[in-house]
Amino acid sequence: MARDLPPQGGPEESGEPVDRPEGGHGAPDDVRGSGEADPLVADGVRWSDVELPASYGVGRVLPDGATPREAASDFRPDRAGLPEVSREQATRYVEEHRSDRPWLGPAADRSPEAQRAVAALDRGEGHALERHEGWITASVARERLEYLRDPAQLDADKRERAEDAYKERMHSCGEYVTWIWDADAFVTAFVRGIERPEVRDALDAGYVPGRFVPGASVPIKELLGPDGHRFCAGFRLLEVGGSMEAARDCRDAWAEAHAKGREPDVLKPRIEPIDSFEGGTIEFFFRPNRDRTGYEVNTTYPEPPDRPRSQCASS
Amino acid sequence: MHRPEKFWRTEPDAPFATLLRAVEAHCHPEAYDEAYEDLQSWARDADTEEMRVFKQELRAALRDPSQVPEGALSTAAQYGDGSDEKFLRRLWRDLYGDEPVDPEAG
Repeated sequence: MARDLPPQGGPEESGEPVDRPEGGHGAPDDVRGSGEADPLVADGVRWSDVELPASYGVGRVLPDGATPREAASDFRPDRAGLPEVSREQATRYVEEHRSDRPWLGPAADRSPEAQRAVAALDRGEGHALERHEGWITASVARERLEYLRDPAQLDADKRERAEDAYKERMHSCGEYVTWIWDADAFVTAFVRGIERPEVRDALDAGYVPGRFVPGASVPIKELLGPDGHRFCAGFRLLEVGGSMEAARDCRDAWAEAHAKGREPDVLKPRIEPIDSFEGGTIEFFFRPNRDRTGYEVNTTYPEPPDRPRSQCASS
Repeated sequence: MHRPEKFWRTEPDAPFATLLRAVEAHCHPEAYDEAYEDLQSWARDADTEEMRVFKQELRAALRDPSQVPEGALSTAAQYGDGSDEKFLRRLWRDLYGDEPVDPEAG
């Protein structure tokens, strides 16, 4: 069971989605979980409580002696299959595009080095920022998991109809929705992760049609330090009838019916906040680069440690 | 139930590792946008050893889904089909159409 969970409160208690302004999910304050209706969930502690640090920071010394500041400074976009971008270009890019690409917002007050990593990622082909970085709020994450509403979909009507932002079909997600809620922590996980051998195996490979490149995992503590798990947040589906397969099946059917205005013939999905990411991993998924000569990171996100899955009590 | 280890990432010779690597890379919700279409295209056109092994393992899994380590397909694909068997049937149909799973039965 989740421990010491924060109140979820607000309009979401009814199970209905929250109205949002077109073009974005909320201001940076909302991202940090300062609103009562949208508390940040991380290790079962509210962001505003003293147990959670105010921010990840860039001066901490990580287990291998490096600091996040150094890691961001050493980042080379070409090592990740991403287009080169200077610090000056990056800060200008973030400033110019943060209104139409709101996932850039959390990086706007960070160092030019952090903004460089974010700008390079945003100019790549993947979607890690849109779906797993600090602009995600608890309510947006819940809507993705329950309603299959894509955080990257900025057209409010399409988002309500669960239309994927990049594919001409319904959005999908698995049994978790997770994100790293601090921009510096996100950047640190990414720039350190791409130098790990598990990840380099994919990024150093040449593209070959018919060759499979599965995901890679790196322990959170090795990328972000011993308390790195506290900068991760997320929700998980509850099993239905003892089955996660049934839970995803029912969730997909429920979300599709809801999106199309039909009366669902299955129960509304039940979810819960992930109470801790301690012992978890940062997952990396890969994709062919733009000219299909090699690979880049398609997405990266935290995954909680294994534990017996929770069952929906009412199922 | 516990989530299985993702052995297919690090043990390419493990049972059904090629099938599971393909499924994770091309069917998982976090896979890249064109991943499923790429797999469909490769099933038609890509004559590689990996695709041949993939098809053999997909056939074997369809004949007896219980041979695939428990929970592995569910974790690798995060499918919404309800069961390994339904997912595998959909995958075969999307990739190979009406081609019989068992060639001798065709």
